[in-house]
Amino acid sequence: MKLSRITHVVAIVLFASATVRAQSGGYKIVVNPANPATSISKDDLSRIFLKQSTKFRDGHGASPVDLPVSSPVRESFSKSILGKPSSAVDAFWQQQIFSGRDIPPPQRNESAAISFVRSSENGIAYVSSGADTHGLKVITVAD
Amino acid sequence: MLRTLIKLLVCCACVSSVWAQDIKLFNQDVQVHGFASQGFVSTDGNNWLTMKTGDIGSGQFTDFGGNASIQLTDKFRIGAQIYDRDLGQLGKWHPQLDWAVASYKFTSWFGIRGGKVKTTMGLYNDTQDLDFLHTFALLPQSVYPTDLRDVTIAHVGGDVFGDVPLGKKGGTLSYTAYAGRRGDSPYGGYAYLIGSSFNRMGGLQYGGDLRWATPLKGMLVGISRLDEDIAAHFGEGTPGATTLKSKVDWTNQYYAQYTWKKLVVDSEYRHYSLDATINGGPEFQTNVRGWYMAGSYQIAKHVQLGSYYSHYAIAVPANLLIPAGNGFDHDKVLTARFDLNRFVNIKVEGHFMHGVGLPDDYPNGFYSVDNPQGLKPNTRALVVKTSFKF
Repeated sequence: MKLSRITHVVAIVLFASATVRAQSGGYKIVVNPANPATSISKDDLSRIFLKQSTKFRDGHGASPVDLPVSSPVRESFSKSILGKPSSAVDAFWQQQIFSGRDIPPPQRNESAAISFVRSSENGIAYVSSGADTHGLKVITVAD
Repeated sequence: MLRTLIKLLVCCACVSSVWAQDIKLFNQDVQVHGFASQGFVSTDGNNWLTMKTGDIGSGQFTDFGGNASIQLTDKFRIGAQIYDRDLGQLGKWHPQLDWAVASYKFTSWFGIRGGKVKTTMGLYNDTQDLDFLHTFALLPQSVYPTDLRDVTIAHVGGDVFGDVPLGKKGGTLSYTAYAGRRGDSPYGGYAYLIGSSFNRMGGLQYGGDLRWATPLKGMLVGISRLDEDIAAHFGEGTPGATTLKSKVDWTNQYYAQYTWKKLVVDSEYRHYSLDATINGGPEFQTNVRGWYMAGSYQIAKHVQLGSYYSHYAIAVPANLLIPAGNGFDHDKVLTARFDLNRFVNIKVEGHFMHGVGLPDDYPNGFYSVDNPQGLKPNTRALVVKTSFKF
């Protein structure tokens, strides 16, 4: 009984710390309410935004949308989730674009990104932690 | 001159901020991108890269490209790019379809693409024209000779490709396998070397590339292989009509790159081996070996410094058309790159070259026809180049 309570507390602390980490970076991850996901691993999130995966773990489709390269929110997201500054991620996409290999997710400003996720069942975006996410689902990022 | 350059840079910066937008077509995002570069090359003696670089220098060093791509579904994408250049006697402002691709990615580990596809080979083959991606104004000419760009740049055919994760401790393995046809432009290095009797050159290419992003963060190693069955025709319709046809024709390339914070170190080795027949009879052999070691470091937010050593060696045994010969070219390079903003940069680069390859027999930057006074063993070159992209 005691052990299970401790486990419970530890789980809550770990979960909360992951949430705080994601939000202290200045962003939160939003998806359409039709998406059943409540959390996503850092690795899966990275694969979705680098277009290495087009689905969530449960098979739900994922259509990411990026903020502009100059956005401080994107910088924070790039460094913590993709492990590189947004300029390095941009250079990666330039390489892909001009050699005909791939194209990056569409870029939108924050309000357009929110509108996109609201209207697209598969939409996923990162937005500033203070953004109005009414009508969207905020999911947590786990390590 | 300086005023014009400044105006051009300001114009580019303005254009880029306006154009870096998606366009909607049938409710789909069409991504439109482009790039352009302008260089100036001055040498202290030999004319280089088919330009008249030896007197005051040459600014006949321009290229540009533009593309449009559309993601039709999560897995299916189409796009195309036009490319044009004017580099001395190469390109001559004849635009070409650089790539035009339909790509379908079934999963992250298996996809197919077809059309005119940029060939995956080594670290930079498919991005060699994209000046803004590189620290250097000229990539090491021992491995990426700009006068032989057409030879490896693209094939009309198809690829299979994918990324295979090897677990958290194994890194990621990326593969590409391809087959298609190569068609050389009449404005490339082979055509320039052969002269007006050049008719056409091209044929089958097939090969692959395997690269491993190792578990050591920033470390990439890889190997590429290209096999060809090529025919070159010149002097058609004349008594001296000649066809060179591949008998054994392959290229192996090995490469490694390490990125640590603001430091990038890379090295590549390429061996091209050709055994061809002349009009179906005698054989003609060529072996070209090139390698380089390069490093660059970002010393400030907008400034990168780089250096490389590039080593080129060619061996041609005696035969009917070409006398036996051994040639080499060693190039020591220092570069400074200044990024004015995300879209525009300027590079200043010094080359210290020793050797000229085999200028009468095989294209590698130096041509006897450009140097009628005879070639000197050493060449120093100053390259100034600016490029922009959107």
